[in-house]
Parts: sequence; C-alpha cells; structure tokens
Amino acid sequence: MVQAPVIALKHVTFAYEDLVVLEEVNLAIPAGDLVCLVGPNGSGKTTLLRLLLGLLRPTRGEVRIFGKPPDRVRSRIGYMPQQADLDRRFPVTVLEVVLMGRLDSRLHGPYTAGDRRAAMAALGELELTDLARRPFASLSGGQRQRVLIARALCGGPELLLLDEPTANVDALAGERLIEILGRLNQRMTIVLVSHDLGFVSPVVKTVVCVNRCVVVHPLGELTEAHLRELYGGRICLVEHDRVVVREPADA
Amino acid sequence: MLEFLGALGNADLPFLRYAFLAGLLSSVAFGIVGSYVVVRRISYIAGAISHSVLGGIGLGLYLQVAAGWGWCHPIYGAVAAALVAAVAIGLVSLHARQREDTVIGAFWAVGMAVGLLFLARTPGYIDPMSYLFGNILLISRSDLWLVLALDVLVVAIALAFYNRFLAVCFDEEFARVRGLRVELYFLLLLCLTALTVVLLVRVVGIVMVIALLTLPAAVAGLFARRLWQMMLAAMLLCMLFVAVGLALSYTRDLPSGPTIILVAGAAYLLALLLARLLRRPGRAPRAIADGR
Repeated sequence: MVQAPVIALKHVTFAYEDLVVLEEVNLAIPAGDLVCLVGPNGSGKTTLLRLLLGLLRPTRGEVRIFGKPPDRVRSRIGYMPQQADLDRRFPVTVLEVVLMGRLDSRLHGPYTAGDRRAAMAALGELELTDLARRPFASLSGGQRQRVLIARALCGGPELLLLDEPTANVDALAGERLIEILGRLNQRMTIVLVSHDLGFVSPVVKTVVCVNRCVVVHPLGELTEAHLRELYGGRICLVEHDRVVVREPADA
Repeated sequence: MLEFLGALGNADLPFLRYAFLAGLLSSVAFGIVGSYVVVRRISYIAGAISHSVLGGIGLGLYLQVAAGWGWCHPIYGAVAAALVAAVAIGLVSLHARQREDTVIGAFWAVGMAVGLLFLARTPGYIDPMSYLFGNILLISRSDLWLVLALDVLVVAIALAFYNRFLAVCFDEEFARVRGLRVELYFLLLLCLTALTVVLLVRVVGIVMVIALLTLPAAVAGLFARRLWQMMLAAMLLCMLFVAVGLALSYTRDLPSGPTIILVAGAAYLLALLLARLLRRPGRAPRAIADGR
C-alpha cells in the first residue's frame, strides 16, 4: 500500500502582484523524509516555506499537507522560525516560550498541567531542562535555537519545518542540532531551509533546489553541475569532514 | 513631605485626596497597558491616539455647547476619537507597515488641529491647557469611579488574554502559524490602550500621557524577568512617581502633571545608570561568550 505524501504541491504558482516568485511547482514529500530546501537569495525558498505553513495562499494550484490545506492541520505541524526577528530582551522565560507551542485557535484559559508536561518533555528532549526557568534573553545563540525547536515540538507535530536552524549558531552547537534533527527524523518528517547544504548534509535525504522552479534530487545524486545550474554562476563547494593533505613538493 | 501627608488627611482638602487616589488607581491601568505598549513597541501609536483625543474632546464640546446636544459629554467624543485612531492606525500597521509612520504623524497633528479648531468655535472660553497638561486636582468623585471601572476592565482583559497577548507580542509570526487571530489581538490591544489613554488624560494631560504609559514600564523592563513581574513593578513605580510628584508639586507650588513626569524621567535615567552598573564590568562581552 503506497502511503500518501505528507506534503503535496500541485501546479503551484505564487506571484507578489506581477512578480512571479514560484512557477508551476509540483512536489511530493513522503513521510519520514528529511528535506533541505536550497537556492540563492530571492529564489522563493522562503515563499515555499510560507506556503507550507499556510501563511501564504498560492496564486494558482494547491498545497496539501496530510491531504488537507495547511490551515486545517496546524496542530500537526511544528515550526521553527529564524531567530533574527525576535526581541532578545523580551521578559520571558524559556518555559514560557516553549509553552507558546501549545496555543491554538481555540479560546484558552491558563495553561494546563498537560501543557506543562508536554513543554518539559520537549525541553528534556533538547537537553534544556535545567534552563526552563531562565530568562530567554540570557541564553546563548545555540541554546535559544534549541528552545525554539522545543517550542515547535511540544505540540506533538508529525511534520517539522525549520528556517535556517544552523544560522547564527557556532559550529559545535550546529553539529549538536543536526544530531538532534536526525533523531527526530525517526518519528517525524522534517523540512529545513538552509543556505549551508554541506553542513546539514549528514542527515539530509532529499535536496529540493528552488529557483523559481523546483527540482528534486536525492542527496547522493546531487552534483556540482546541478548546483552550478541552480545558483547560476561560479560556486565554491565546501566539503566538510574531509582533511586535505598536501604532500610537500619533491625537491 | 510631612506637610503633604498632613494635607492629605485634612477634611477640607478633598481634592488632594481624590488626586492622590486617582493617581494610585490609574497606576494599575498604566502599569498593565504600559507594559504591553513597551514590549510591543507601540509607544508612537499610543502617542498618536492620545493626541487624537483632543479632536474628540473638541468635537464633543462643540456639539454639546454650540450645537446644543446637551447629552454629548466631551468624554464620548474622546472615546470615539481614540478608538477610531486606534483601529485606523492598527489596520495600517497590519496591512501597510511602510505607511505606519506617516499615518501616526497624521493622526497626531490632525487630531490636535481638529480639536483646537472646534474649541475655538465653541462659544464661551474653553482653556485647552487642562486637557493638554491635565489637572489632577480637578478630579471629582465620579471620575474616580470611572478610573476604577477602567481598572477592572483592563485587569480582566489582561488576565483573560495573558498567554495569547504574550505570544503575539513575542513572536507574531509563530502565533499566526499556530492559528491565533493575530490581527484581532493587536487591534484589541490598541483599543485597550485607547481607553486607558482617554481616562488618564485627566491625570497628566494628553501631551504627557505617553510618558506615564511608557516610563514606569520601561524602568520595570530593565529588571523584570517575566511580563507579569514587569506589570506589577510598573504599577508600583507609577504609584511612586505620582505620589512623589504630587507631594513635590504641593510643597513647592508647581503644576502637578509636569512634576510627576519629571520624577518619572529622572527615575528612568537613574535606572538606566543602575542597570549599566549592574552589568558587571569584568564580564566578557556577549559576542565572545556566546557559545554552545
């Protein structure tokens, strides 16, 4: 029995007034995939993400998550936005930030004990339990990123969408994040936007190249030629985890 | 100072007691709404709303006196003008962010102009000074009931929507993704601000309402770790500023509104210095310490 794709885009076009950002996008992401969206600036990767989140409606075509429009399945999607837009001085604790992931469109009273349990469980999964009561503002970049992932998780999602999870984070923290994503992938589908494919490649299974149109490659088949075509110019491929040994020239 | 405390107890000076009570009561609304205004960074919108209030007051007075609509108390005009400004600026902020600045400026200046025009055409001598700079010493008993009613409304809404307002103020996009009606909450917040501004214009006047709305909350925000702590601290600080300001203005025969504002301003400067000193000078700068 073939399982229906988690994400299905059919003939999706998106235009801001007369500027076409995405054209005739057809995409199907199966359950359990870990997808990286790559592409140059202004290519439409962010627009694609916002279409998946239900923040934008396509000009033409349809976007389906779990077979329904995104705004019907909000509780099944977890979202980690870019940190840059947050006011870091905001008077809020780590736990309070994570609890926000339990809100939804229904009218709410105060958070329940169940909400707190879910939030603490999410914090535990990200190894942040000790920091629950600390002000969000006092954390390092990497810790804040993990808090935002915990917030995305505590609603119990089946699909996780992350916008530049390793940006603004040092290499060591970034590697830790990638490990966590790999672990989470065992029980949910993950889509992330990243400008550094090489860094996240240890866990990525599928690469979706976005530049107004969309081309899909399993990671193993992605070549330099593909990337050159995508970025439209000379590119520099940085290979991580490889030590290049230079032999001294023979005298 | 003792002179002031003595005067408070004096049965022949009820106006001083009312003024003092009005200051204390309104601090509750100022603390709560002011905290939201500061964290959401909408002080300019609050300023535009408060200046539009003069337009409403002018219109209300004109209709009451010149057009003979006896029922039309200026406060109805004030509330209407404040709500119109709140919703209009809110909608522009939501749908045409780049025009927000211009619209704020427009309401600010045009609101004042409309008010002054109507006041000029109203028969009888109306001094705009008490609207512009407040006259807390003219507070009556019924005014106190109004302030109390506002306090109850503000506390009720702030409590009922606390988690949602917190989410919308902290990360609007995430709240939207979770399905919250972000636009409605933003407009609700602005309307709450509008009501607070109208009822407290009497305490320090239109020009300076924005100061009492933002300064106590700003001082609190330097030290508070959670929003409700910030609100509580802002309330207490506002009470302190009003009390000290009133005492000073009484003993030295100064206008009350500006004195209160000066006390608030001085406290803010002191708090900034204190916060800077407390950021231990020996500690490594953030960029280097930023690690795992």
